[in-house]
Amino acid sequence: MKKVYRMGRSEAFYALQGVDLVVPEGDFVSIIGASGSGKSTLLHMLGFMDSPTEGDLLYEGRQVGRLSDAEMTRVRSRDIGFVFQTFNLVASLTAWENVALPAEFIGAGTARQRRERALELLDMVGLKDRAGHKPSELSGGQRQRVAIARSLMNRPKLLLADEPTGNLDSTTGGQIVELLQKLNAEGQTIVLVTHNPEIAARSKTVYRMKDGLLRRVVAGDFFAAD
Amino acid sequence: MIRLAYKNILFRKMRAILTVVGIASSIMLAVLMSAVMTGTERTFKDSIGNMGGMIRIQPKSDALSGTSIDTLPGGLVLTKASVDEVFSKATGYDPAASAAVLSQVLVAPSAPNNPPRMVLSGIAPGKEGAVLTGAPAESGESKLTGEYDVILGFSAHQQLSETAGRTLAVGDSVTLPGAPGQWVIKGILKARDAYTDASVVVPLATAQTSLKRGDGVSYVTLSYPVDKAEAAAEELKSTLPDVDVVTTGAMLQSVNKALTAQRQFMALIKGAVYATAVAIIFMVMYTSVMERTKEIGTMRAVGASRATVVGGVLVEAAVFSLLGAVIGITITWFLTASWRSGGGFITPKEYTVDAIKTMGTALLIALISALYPSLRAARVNPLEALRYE
Repeated sequence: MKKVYRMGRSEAFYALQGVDLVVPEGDFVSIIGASGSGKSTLLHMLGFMDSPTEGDLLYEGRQVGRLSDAEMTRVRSRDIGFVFQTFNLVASLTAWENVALPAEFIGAGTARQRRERALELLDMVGLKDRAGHKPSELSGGQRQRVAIARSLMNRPKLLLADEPTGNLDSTTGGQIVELLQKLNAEGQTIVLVTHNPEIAARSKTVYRMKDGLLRRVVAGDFFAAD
Repeated sequence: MIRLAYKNILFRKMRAILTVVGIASSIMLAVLMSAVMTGTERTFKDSIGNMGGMIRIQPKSDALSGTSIDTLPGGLVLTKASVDEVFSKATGYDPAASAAVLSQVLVAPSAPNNPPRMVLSGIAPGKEGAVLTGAPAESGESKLTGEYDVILGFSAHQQLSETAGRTLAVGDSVTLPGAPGQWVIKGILKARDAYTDASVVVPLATAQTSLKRGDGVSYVTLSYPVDKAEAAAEELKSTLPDVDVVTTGAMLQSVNKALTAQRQFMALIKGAVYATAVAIIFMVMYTSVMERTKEIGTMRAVGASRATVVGGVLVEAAVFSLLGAVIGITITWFLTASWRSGGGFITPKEYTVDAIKTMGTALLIALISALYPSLRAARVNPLEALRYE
């Protein structure tokens, strides 16, 4: 895949120069790279929030790069879970209401069923006792755990995490990665984007992104300078 | 969608309260304008409607065209000779409800194009029906027997009681402003319409002496069956070229003309009020969408469709508008209580109909003014929104 941004009539910026990536089910993939390397662009494409300028984006064998906004939204809401660097919780909703949001958008279950599932997920991330609190009443780590719970609400096939520990201290960040590892151990497919090699090292497969090109990292090459 | 809108409103309480207060104020003004117009139009139409198939013969004057007889200068009267000529040439009228009337405004209207607050009508005893048109008496009787008898309309009685400092009753003496004499109350009428309520009916001869009009009268009123009035009026116009012949239909037309300017003014004010409400909702919803760009982007990223986003904004606007409308209409209901009491300016049913129409308009305003902000919200690109700080 390639992604080109046009700036003016003649200038073009290649966010992705040519990326080939296959994410097998059940894998825990990390994409590591410096700021501006194109890793977030790739992640957004995997999450059907953006489409490639050239090349094919296939999901379960289907060509999704050319879908309409409505169709991409539908696939995204059912099959993709997102975890953002800045948590991005809705300030006016409580923790459980934030978790239940993706299910509410697709009309899954009754209100009671959604609430029960949301509480289940919060329990799984260790925050059941904070279910009725608003994001402003939670710490950074707690908010990120709520965001992870939210991303799992619709039982997505793929969980995408964009710098999930970027706004957290190292201890809290470590706890978040542990949670992701636990989810992966239970079968969740995860793609995580980070600039921190220590975080990346805790996944099963690591790719390095540099100048819009993706390369698989092998053992011994892991902490090599960019 | 409704739940999200409701949560957002609760989360930003101060903004919500101020928005609702703004809308409520606009709606209050709009409902008041509607009530005033409805009441004024009904008052005039009722008053004229009660005259049924009445024809008025009044002094001819181009300057008087469309002018209410009650505001005629004192010098313009029909002489006895003219009156006799009218009765000799008119045919087919009801004698019991037809008579010569001397009319004089005792208390002027409170605003232009409103009916006078007190009007003296001098009429021959036994012909009271020609002026009162069947209005029932609350107390006493609606028949003149004594030289200084007076029958008071509902609001005329209230005004005179206020001046006297006590509630006047049948048998009491009363002073009429601008009509010298020691009048005695013979009857007090029930509330009916603006003109009847403002009536002060006295014997014609006494009125002519008191107001120094010699044998002159202001007009002759002839009562016809409703379906025969127009034809009778046309005949009289040809046989009585020196006087004006005015039917209820013509009176309605002249009232309509007078009310047109008032209607236009009220419509202008209402338009300005609704425009203010539109501006309030637009500003609030637009600002809300701009503030929540990242939140909207998040919702889109986790699966909200464009329709959900649009719907959320529209629902929020509708809630502000309806809440403001309910509060504004309720407050105005209490403020206009006196308008609706005892045969008042406007009936509860009329007020309710106006209120429902205003509520519908408020909802429409909400949807129109929130449409652009909602479509803008729907166009938020999740990617760009998530980068938005």
